[in-house]
Amino acid sequence: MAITINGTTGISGVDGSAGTPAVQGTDSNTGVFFPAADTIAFAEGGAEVMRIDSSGNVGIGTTSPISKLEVKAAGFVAASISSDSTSETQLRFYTNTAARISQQANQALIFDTNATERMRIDSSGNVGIGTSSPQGKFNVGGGRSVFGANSETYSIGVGYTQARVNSGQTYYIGATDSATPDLVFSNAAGTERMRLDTSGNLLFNSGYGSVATAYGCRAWVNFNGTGTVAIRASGNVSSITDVGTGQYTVNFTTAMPDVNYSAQVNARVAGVITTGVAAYDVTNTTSALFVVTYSTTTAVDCTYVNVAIFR
Amino acid sequence: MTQRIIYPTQDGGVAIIIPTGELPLEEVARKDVPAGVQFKIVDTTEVPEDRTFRSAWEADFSNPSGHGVGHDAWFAEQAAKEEV
Repeated sequence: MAITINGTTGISGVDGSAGTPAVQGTDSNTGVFFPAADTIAFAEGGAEVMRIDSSGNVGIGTTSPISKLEVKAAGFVAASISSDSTSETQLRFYTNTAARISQQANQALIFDTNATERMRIDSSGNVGIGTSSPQGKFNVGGGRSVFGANSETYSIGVGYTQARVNSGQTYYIGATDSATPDLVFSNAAGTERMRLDTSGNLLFNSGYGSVATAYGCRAWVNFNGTGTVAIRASGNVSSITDVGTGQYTVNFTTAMPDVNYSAQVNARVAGVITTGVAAYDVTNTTSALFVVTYSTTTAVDCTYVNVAIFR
Repeated sequence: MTQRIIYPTQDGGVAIIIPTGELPLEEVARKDVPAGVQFKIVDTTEVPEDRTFRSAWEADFSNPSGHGVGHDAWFAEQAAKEEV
């Protein structure tokens, strides 16, 4: 070794190697050496364990760090931030643009607490909480999910952030469990309050005493059949056709699925209940219903005519 | 709705359609007037209030507003639109 010691360069003149570091203590194969120009390396037991290369990149377990800090090992490797007090440990970014935690390989990015996986973003970009195999863009498994609205008007929104592809674009909320594909709504205690089953039946308890299928009124209309015939209120009815005295056609805005619907009709004149009201022709399948109101055997205009269609 | 749609019936009478407002008036006319039958859109004031001789009502359809396509064709149109 040719060691130079002076007041300008300090101790210089020897590069050393991993086996024989230029700067060492009493252990001859552990210390600092200089493997290349502008490069500082550290050796333990005769092997390089860390270096700062000519670009200022720090490599631990690698002689060619690809970023400011690279930690590499042949097997398991971890970088730890530890605290032995009750203070938090944090990973902080200070930047004028976005910060990124990046998985560069075609593998999952996993987040743990209590040394147990809690969330992952798989290689396809699907996010899973409580599941290691998310089925879809966002999959929560293993327990309840709670969405707090705070001061917002709703806690879960379904939308599309970009321009619609077409006017018929539809948003869906649905059950994805193929074993029990019903969509169930419950209260905070988990008691079922409403269910949309896989067949499309809506079941709820609104004074029925139990959760049961609710068979809805598919169309209804309340109108005055006297004078200038006028509709008071209606639902799923585009119009009524005044065909003649006491005879009306109720035209549905949305057609019935078949002709097996139940037509309920009643009418009265000036407070007197009129008997003999009949659904005259309910065979006109999906579009219309003839209703004739009778008083005895004569068709008569009624002040109140009510029609309700159930299916 | 202050307007009505009228069309001639097969027995020589006049049918009056009272729209609910769920659909535009023109669509109601196309849908609820039988296929191929001409109709007129009139104001309610043009429809008699006295229905004593309802079966004897007549109307001039020489200058129609259009003609109906009927329920079946209209619903078929809507179904076709939904498929686009």
